[in-house]
Formats: sequence, C-alpha cells, structure tokens
Amino acid sequence: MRRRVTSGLALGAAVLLAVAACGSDDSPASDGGGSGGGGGGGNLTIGFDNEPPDLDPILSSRISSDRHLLNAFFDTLIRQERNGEFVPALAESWESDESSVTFTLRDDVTFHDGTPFDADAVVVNLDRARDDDSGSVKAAGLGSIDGVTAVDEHTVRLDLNRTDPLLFVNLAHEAGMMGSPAAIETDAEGFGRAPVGTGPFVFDSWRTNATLTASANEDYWRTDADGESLPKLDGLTVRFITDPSTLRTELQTGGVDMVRVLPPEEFTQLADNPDITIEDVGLRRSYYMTLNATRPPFDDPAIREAVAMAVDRDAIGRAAAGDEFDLAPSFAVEGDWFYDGDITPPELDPAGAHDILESAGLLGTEITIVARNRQPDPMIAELLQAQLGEAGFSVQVEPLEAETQLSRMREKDFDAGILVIDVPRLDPSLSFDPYFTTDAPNNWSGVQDEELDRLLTDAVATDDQDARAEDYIAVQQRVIDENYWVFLYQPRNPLNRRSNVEGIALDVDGQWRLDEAYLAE
Amino acid sequence: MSSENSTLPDAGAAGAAAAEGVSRPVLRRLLRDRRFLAGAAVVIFIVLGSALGPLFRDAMTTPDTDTLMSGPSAAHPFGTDELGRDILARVVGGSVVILQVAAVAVGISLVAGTALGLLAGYRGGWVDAVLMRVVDGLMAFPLLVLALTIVAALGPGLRNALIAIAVVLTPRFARVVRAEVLSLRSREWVSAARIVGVPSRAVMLRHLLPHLSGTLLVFAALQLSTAAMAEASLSFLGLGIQPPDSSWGAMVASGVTRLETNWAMAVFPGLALLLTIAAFNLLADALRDALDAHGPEEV
Repeated sequence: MRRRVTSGLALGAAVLLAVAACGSDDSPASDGGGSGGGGGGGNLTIGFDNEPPDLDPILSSRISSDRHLLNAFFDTLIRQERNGEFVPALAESWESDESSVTFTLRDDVTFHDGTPFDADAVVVNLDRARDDDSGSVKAAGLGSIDGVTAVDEHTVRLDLNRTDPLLFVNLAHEAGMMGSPAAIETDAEGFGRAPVGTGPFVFDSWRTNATLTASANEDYWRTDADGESLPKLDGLTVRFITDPSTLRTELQTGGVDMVRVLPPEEFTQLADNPDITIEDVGLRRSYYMTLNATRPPFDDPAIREAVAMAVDRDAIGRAAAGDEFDLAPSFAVEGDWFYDGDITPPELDPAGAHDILESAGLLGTEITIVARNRQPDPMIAELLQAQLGEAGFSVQVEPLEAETQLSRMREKDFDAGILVIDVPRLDPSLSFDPYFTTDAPNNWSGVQDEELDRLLTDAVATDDQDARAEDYIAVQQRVIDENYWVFLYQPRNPLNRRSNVEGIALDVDGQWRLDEAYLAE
Repeated sequence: MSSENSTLPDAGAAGAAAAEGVSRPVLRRLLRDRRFLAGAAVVIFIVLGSALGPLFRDAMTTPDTDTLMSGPSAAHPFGTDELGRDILARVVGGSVVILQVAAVAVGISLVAGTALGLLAGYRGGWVDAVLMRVVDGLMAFPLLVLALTIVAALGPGLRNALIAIAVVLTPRFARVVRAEVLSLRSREWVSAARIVGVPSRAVMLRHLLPHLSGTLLVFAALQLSTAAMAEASLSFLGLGIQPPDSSWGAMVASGVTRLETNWAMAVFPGLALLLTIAAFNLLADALRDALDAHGPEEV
C-alpha cells in the first residue's frame, strides 16, 4: 500500500485518487466488475517486470513476455495448447492441402468495440501483419502466405507458396492475433496503447510505469469444458514493477497475486510460505556467454575452447541459483523434442586452458565482458572474471544498461557478452535462427558458418519433426564444437502466485492464458 | 614582514594561528577535545587497516562458491558475500578506496579551488565576474547530480569518479577562498605590499594565502566527509570502482537486496562508512573550534 501511495504522490493528486481506487481491487469482494461481467472470480493483480511499450501484436518484439498480456485482449484463428496440439479458436475448423488452408470462422464473435468478427476482419489483420510497411515485425513469420481471400462471410482461404512447419505456430500466436478493423482504421498508431480484440478481457486504462487495467469481456465467445462462460475473473490489474525484491515483497504481502519472473534468490525465500505457490512448470531461463568471433583473441577456435574449459558452469549455477538450476547443452530443455543430453561442452580444466593460452603466447590477454547491470548478470560476470583470470586472461567487466549492452554487441565492440533468454520458445527455429544464421539480427558472435546456415535452413523446409530434430541436434553439436557460445546454466523459472490463484493455462512457451483463471475463496 | 601579523590582531586569530603552523596552544586544545581524539582514533585505525589492504587482496577478490553468503564465523568474522568472498577483507579493501578518493579529490579541489578563489578575489573585475559566474553555474546543480552527470559522460571507474568528485568540490573552495580574500585585500598590510611594488603573485601567495590556511584546513576536513559520501553514492550506483575490487557503496548496494538472507553483507560496510564519515566530521568540528575559525557558511 505504501508503495502505491508513494508512486501516486509522484504523479500528482488526480493519479493518486485513481491509484487508491486500484488498491481496493485487491479484494475481489469489493469490486464485482459490473453487474453482468465476469464469473465472480475476483480481480487478479499481476506484478509484471517487463512493461511493453505497446500492445499491438504485430509490433511486439519481446517474444518472451508481451504475450502474457496480449493473450488477455486478443484471440487467434487457432490455438496451440501447451502440449503443442492445435485446437479451434476463432476458426471452428480448417482444411489444408499442399498449397492452401481454408478456415471456417465462428459466426458468434464480436470485437470489444462491437465490430463483428468475419472473414473481412481476418483479411485486414493478416494483410496488415504481412505488410512490412505497417511496421510489422511478424511479416517474415507469415512469408509462406501468398494471399488471403475472404471466400464468404465466414470462410477464409490462405494461399501458400511453400511447405512451412511454422505457419500454424505463427498463426496461433502474435502474428495471427485478430484486432478490430474499425479500431485499426480509426487510429492505427494508437491501437497498441488501447488494444481492441475479441479476447477475454476488455482494455480499460494504461499508465506507463504504473498500472494497466482491464475488465471481463461479458460477451466472450469461449466456454470452459463444463460449458461455463468465460472469463471467470472480473478484471485484471497489471502493476509494472521492475525490482525483483519489491516484486517478491508484494507477492508476500498480497499486493500482487502473481508475478511474471522471480530470480531463484527471491523465490527460494518464499518456498515455505503456505500462502504462496512456487510451481515448476518446466520453464527455464538460459544464461549464456557469447564470444566475439570476429576479432582476436576469440576469432581463434583454440582460444574459444580454452574459455569453455575454464568456465565452471556448476559453480556459477550454485552461486546464482542455489539448487534451482540445470546444466543444459544449449537452449534446449530436457524433454524438448530436439534435446540431446549427449552433447557436452569441454571438460572443466582451468590448467589445460592456461596451457593453451601459454603456448599461444596469449597469457595476460585483456578481454572485456559486457553484462547487463541487473542481478544476477554482474555477479555471473564477476565469477567468470575470476575463472577466466585463473586460466590466464586479464578480464575487465563492464556492467551496462540493457540497450547499451545490446548496441555494443551489435557493433561487435566486446569480447564476451552475458545474456539470457527464456526457454523453451514456441519452436526451436525461434531459439536458434536469430542467433546463429549469418545475417541474423542477434548473431552476437558474428558467426559465419555455412554448416549452421545449411542446417537451419533445412530444419524449416520440412514439417517432419524427426528430420527437424536431427537438424537441430546437429546445430547444437556444431555450436558446442566450435565453442562460439558457452551455455552457462538454466535457472528454474517457476510460476509464482498466491495459492488462491487457480486455473492459469499456459502457452507452449509458458506465457499465460487467463480466461479460465480465478481467485479461490 | 611577517611581523605585521602580530601588529594587526584583527587579521583574525584563525589566520594568525594557522600562519604559524598549528601552534602549541592549538595542539593542546585539540588533544583535550574528546571529539578530536575519537575522530583521530577512528581515522588512524582506518589508515592502518587500509595499509594492510594489499595483503587481503586475494581473499577480497577470489570467489569461493562453497561458502556463499555465510553469516559471521571464526573463519569469516564478518561472514561472506554472494560470491563467497570474505566480507572483512572486502571492507578493508574498501577502506583503501574511500581514503584514496577522499584525500585525492579533496586535495585536487583544494589546490584548484584556492587558485581560482585567490585569482577572482584579488583581481576582481571581469576575471572575478567570469570565474564566479562559472562557479555559480556549477553550484546550481546538486552535488550528486553533477557528479553523476560527469561520471555518465566519462564512464564508470575509480579515476573518473575521482575526477567527478574533485570537479564538484572545486567551486566550493573557490567561493570560500574568494570571500576571505575580499575581506583581506583592503587591509593596510595588503595595500602596503602593493604600494611598495610587490608583484601580484607574491601578494597572493606570500601575504594572502597564509591567512587563509586555517579556514582552508577546517573546510577541507569538512569536505573529506562529503567526498567520502559522494564516492560511496557513486559506487552504490555501480559507477565507482569496478569489480572485483570492493568499495563500501557497492557492497551496501549488493547487500540491501539480500538483507533478509544475510544481513552482514550490507551492515558491515554500512557501519564502516558511517564511522568514517562521522570521524571526518568530528575532526573537522574539533579543528574549527581549536583554530577558532567559524567555519564558512555551508554553501
């Protein structure tokens, strides 16, 4: 409560009043969300660390976090369940052949602004998502679509130019989210700050760095397995809080009901609290160190190998995550269809690494590690500084703001960089392509490896999962053999919530679907 | 010419006392002052401790993932931090940094500020106008905001933090010195020196400067604590000395987020900081009373 009031003061009296009003939302009983709305499941308050600048699905570039919120406002033609299966959503059914997919749409859906959902709306949305000029960052994902045609009011046909194993994955997530054509036409620029979709929640308000609120969509089309109307919640309040220990305290005191990400250092403190449930749902964060292969000393594979030999991954994991981590060969998580436990990095051998440096005449070589100025990254950097120091490097650590670090790495003005991604992603191509293909935007190491390019292209040219798995395992083996990257450790990324929050459904990559969620009494 | 001092008692007891060095009565007054003794004891202790700093360098910088965040014990009297490093060793290591920054930054700004203040006060006219407007400009910013801006421009690190602190302290010295010079320069002995043809530089250095030393001594002692606080603040924000070297500010920063897990991480460096700054302040107070210089108004 104190925190709310403090931030309110900073924003002025008017805001303070609004904030105080939000405060009362904490207790579900005090706010019914309007007479007809919701299922009386209360108002869910979420602590969210990674505020998106915008909630326009086709502009969303933070693929590991924006969809937590986008899912509340938007639906897709088809939905992908946690187990990977595609099920009907706004499309009741579909038929596909070599060169086209035809969707039959539901006829009982309207957007939040009253615009009916029909075939024309699908055409508008998919054409917009496929159009680079609209600023869409999802166009590449829909590149196999040649054209979108409204066959009749409730039938849409997509003409395809190739086999694309990712088409349905993309259609089931951001790229296929349906926004109100009327709202987009009126104000395309402002659409992302006041999203209008068909989803379970209707957007109410958004104050940057403070809160976003939404209330139940009374006319939501979806029902649960028992035929009960959804959503069950009366409304959502998202509080944007970046500091992990503040998030943990808020969760402890009931200031928020659920938190997107807590580092192990914070969530382990909640382990014995009966009011809080920390549930491992198979999500991991994958920390890695990328080596700049475009300049000395790491343009030499032997020196990169020395680095891999000098890094004690287990010690880093223990220091940063206690017991709450796994060691993985790459971005793959045990249980993924492209996981291979036999891929192993070089054995830990600091003395051997020292010998390699000595015989190369590189003892005392100065290298710079760039890390984000947010725990645990600087701490990992300090450990690496000590470990690589032991092998004979002279290591400088630079803790930087996120944007500064990324631009330094894009300009290849670094030797080693520490970063993290959330895994699993929707598809392995989303985990590997952006980092290891020659022209990829996030090819930090500056890898130009024909073998990798070939494997990664192969892997998206077929929809045979076994063949794809083979390609991706070969990719991982190659990255490890060449030691472009050192995969450090994978801390658990559990679902952190008050124990009375129930019914959270998850996407393949663990992002929330809240239509069936509710607060138990 | 120095005999003029005795014939002109209104030149100020402080100036007179300081001009002769710290005279015996002053010393006696200091030694009877409990604040001075306490402050001096703490400072001597810290100086001795920091002299041992290099011996602890290994314990200070080498992580040990087998003893993460342990509480105080026989092997680690202050416990260990998030990387298993000995907190006592790191506190000792941090004392080197804070003393270094405080002494060097205050030293630089003392010299630079005195030079500027003398020049502005003695010359007057446009020199004074220009210099003082610049000083006003710099002093319009809150101290830490200006220091942060400078470090942001130069990049983090010990040397840049030092430069930033010296830059923000210099105008303070300049203003204090100028005010003193203005009140001294119309005195007969200054006019006399000028009339008999003593060059300006000699007037400033040989006649004016000695009269300033008491004020400067007290003011510099006061600024030591300001500089120490500024260093701690900068490194709290990650802009001071970089890892693996330790500084108290950075230790407190990483400790506050872990207060519930290991209180020792924030408490010991915080305590060290508190003691050091208190000691500097006690020394300054005692010096001021002993020299009977009413410290310059806080500017």
